[in-house]
Amino acid sequence: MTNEISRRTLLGAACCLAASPVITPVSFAAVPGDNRLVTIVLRGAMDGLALVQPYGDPALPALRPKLALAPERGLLDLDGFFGLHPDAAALMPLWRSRELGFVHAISTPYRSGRSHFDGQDMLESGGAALHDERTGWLNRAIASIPRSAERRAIDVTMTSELILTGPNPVDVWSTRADLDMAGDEQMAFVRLYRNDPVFAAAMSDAMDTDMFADRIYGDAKREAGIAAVAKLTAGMLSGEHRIASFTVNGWDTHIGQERTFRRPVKDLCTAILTLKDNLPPQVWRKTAILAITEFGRTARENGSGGTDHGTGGLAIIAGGAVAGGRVYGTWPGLGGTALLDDRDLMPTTDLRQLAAAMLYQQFDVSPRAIDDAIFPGLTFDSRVGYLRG
Amino acid sequence: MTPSFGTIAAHRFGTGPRPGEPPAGTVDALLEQVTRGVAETCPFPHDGIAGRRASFPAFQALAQEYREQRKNDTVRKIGDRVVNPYQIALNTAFLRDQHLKIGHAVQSPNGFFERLAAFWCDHFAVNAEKTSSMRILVGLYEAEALRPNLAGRFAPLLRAAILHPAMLAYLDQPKSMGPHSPAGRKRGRGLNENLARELIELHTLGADGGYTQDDVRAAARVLTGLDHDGGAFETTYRPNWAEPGIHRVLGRAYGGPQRSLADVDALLADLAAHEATRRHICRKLVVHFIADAPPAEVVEAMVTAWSSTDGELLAVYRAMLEHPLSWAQDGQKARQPFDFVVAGLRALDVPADALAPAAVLPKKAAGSAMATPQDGTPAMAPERDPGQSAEQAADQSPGQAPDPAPDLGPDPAPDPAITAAGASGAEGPAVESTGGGDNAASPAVLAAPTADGRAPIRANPLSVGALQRLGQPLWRPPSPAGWDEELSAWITAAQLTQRIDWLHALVARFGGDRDPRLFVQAVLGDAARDDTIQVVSQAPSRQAGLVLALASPEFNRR
Repeated sequence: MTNEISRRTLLGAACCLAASPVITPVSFAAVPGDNRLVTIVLRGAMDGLALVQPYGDPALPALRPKLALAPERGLLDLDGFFGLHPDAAALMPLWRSRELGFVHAISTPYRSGRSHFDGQDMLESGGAALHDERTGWLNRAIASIPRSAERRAIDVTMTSELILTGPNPVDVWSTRADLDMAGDEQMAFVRLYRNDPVFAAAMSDAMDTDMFADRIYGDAKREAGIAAVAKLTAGMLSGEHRIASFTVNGWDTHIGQERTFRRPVKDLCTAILTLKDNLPPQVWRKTAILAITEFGRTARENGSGGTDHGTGGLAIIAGGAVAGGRVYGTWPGLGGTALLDDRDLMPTTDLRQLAAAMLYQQFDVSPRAIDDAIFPGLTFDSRVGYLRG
Repeated sequence: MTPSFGTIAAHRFGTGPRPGEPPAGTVDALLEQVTRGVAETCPFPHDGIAGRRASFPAFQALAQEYREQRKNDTVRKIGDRVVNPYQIALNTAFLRDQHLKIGHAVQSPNGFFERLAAFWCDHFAVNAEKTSSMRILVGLYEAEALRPNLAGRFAPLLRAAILHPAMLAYLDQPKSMGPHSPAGRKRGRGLNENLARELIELHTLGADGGYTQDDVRAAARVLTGLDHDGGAFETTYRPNWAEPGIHRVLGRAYGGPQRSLADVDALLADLAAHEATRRHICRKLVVHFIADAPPAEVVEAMVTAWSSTDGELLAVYRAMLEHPLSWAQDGQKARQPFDFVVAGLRALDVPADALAPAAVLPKKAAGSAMATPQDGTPAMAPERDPGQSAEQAADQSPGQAPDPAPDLGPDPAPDPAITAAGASGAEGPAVESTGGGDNAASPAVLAAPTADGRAPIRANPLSVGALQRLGQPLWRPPSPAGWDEELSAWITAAQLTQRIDWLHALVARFGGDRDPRLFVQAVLGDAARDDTIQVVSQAPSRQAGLVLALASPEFNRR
């Protein structure tokens, strides 16, 4: 670290100028063992019926005259019933190598309110009902991971994300933050904040994480964008961190979905593929990625070529640790009276079961801890596995 | 020890002390700031309310011209970069409005009014990135729908906000049609619930306000017919879009055989008068001004004032200001980035002309190996990144914010980064001041691109650019629910890192020869803690001392 100061003097100006408001903060936690879990929160309610289309369901074309695709219209066949949206074609190699799977008709217990804020609150807090839990389920999971040692707490972010928010130690960093000051000034800051615990913790975390982030980037220019977020995540996971979470925005496709869907799908593909490219193969093999959204969208397309807030949605699982090449879940159908409230995909899998299975298989979290602390009110069913081995 | 009335008034209820500006000494003085603020002419939009409205046809013409260029394949390109004069004009107007908003908050002696304007702007949040034209609507919306209505009753404020084209556009109301209305049947279009849901959940009753999804659906039916004229941005009511029949919201019936705007008015009036609404909003005010966990007594006092005056906002503000508990809490709130930047600029008495946008002049030669500050894309968040097509740029949905280009490209020397305007000798070769007199500056209504096809101005890194880096870009809240309120959301390591970084730049340029010890006294008064006084007085340099004073917990809390 002897060259730290000189390098930063050089880079300082460029780095500090570059940060941007929509940079997704990334949250991290260090826990024992070799397995990794990355959650990607798809904010805005991803249209699962668009990403993984049940083209084999005869009701689909009538519900979505404009949006429904079929293999002869560009849809990438997955298993003879479901097909992947062509905008996500970059993920097909992972599907073929069984490192990508989906869980369809999945949902949190949130029903009928269809509010992004409440839906995301349920998704990230893991409660059985709205406002049941004030902390994030992934944060509560840390406490339940066996041999989880005391770690320094770091919270370095523009705005923290609920899913990893809570009493347990979590590191958060954004891709462009950089602290640039001389040693004597750093010491002055430590004294300035010594009697204000909130500021003291934030400053101490800033100094620690700043050093680590500097090492990941090396001398490379810091960038914005989802690729940089995924690269930072891969760097952290290659080090001592085992749990990470970040966001892909832009899924609220009320209007002109053919067009507005493209960008977030591209970001999601970039996130997953950048993680794979930047993790050493032995780490990728032990990594599970779980991409989840607050709820699905209406089965019918609306009058403006988009879809509105619905219920049953889609989860994406990826990584060397997952048992991919499958679309999991029980398909409820789209025809007749199969829709919830005659409008939404009927949820058949509780999203908390999927999240719990990830924790159970990746980190040996006990079913009891899952039912009591992480997802209160859930009866975890450990028979359904989504991971290899 | 509780700090004095003047100190708390300046920090908790105002925009921070500014040299030469006497602090408010009484509740009445704070409330007078509100009445003065309502009466003043809003400095944005940069061309004035009437001027902005008069410019819409010119924007329309540019949009049309660009569409034709695309059709005829005559779009101007510089290298791979498409020059879209319409987007450039939008971005330029949006940038100028933003600079005027920050500049005004810095200069205004009506700090409590400015804080209230920010509160209501957040309560009735709209996002400039929803569509292209939102960029020329958001400043107009705040100027004509919100600010003039902050000292009256809640009901007219609600009506002005909800019926403004910016709100209608942000929450997709123009896409909503009664499925059984003549237009809905003919075009096969239906309801969009967005405005109805946020109206009830966020703007009036609150998420716990005791309503159901059926109420939201029914309210969406009541709201059908609302639209705005696409080009003139005047709110219109289209009876043939309105869902016929009677619709029940929270037990009350709206509509009938003949639908009209009166149904919408009745719904808004009833929601404004609802008991849950006053509780929701009073609580929100206390959360914003006093504590993340609001003292119930203060909320109750405000609800009582609301009830006895039929929602007179001045009476509600007064009830908050007169409650002893509003003055007893010690700095439980974080200054959000906007307030932090404004307070920092005020503390150092940064002059108006230093807060103008930075001009961008054409680069002399392409392909220069040397990085200049302009090598990055100009500093507009709405500028597209190179990978995004013009089609995507033309109609952007919320949550699809592109990654804003950096405010400045890589530049090894720190000083030019903060030299946006004013000291003309110090800038890089292609940046010069546009001066402060933005309103009178240009005879042309719309900004023309530079000779090499870029926006003629970019964000001042000291003000508008700083807010982007600090995670609170102007008029672009993350959702209709607005910005986070909690201290824990804002006082984080990355946030502190960015704040300190900005303070370094600010103090380097405007710190001058101030004595940090006197500065602490002037800015923090009797709120200064012993730690701060001591650390500042022992700081390794004058500049470090000023930075430490403004980075202190008591300056970042309120």
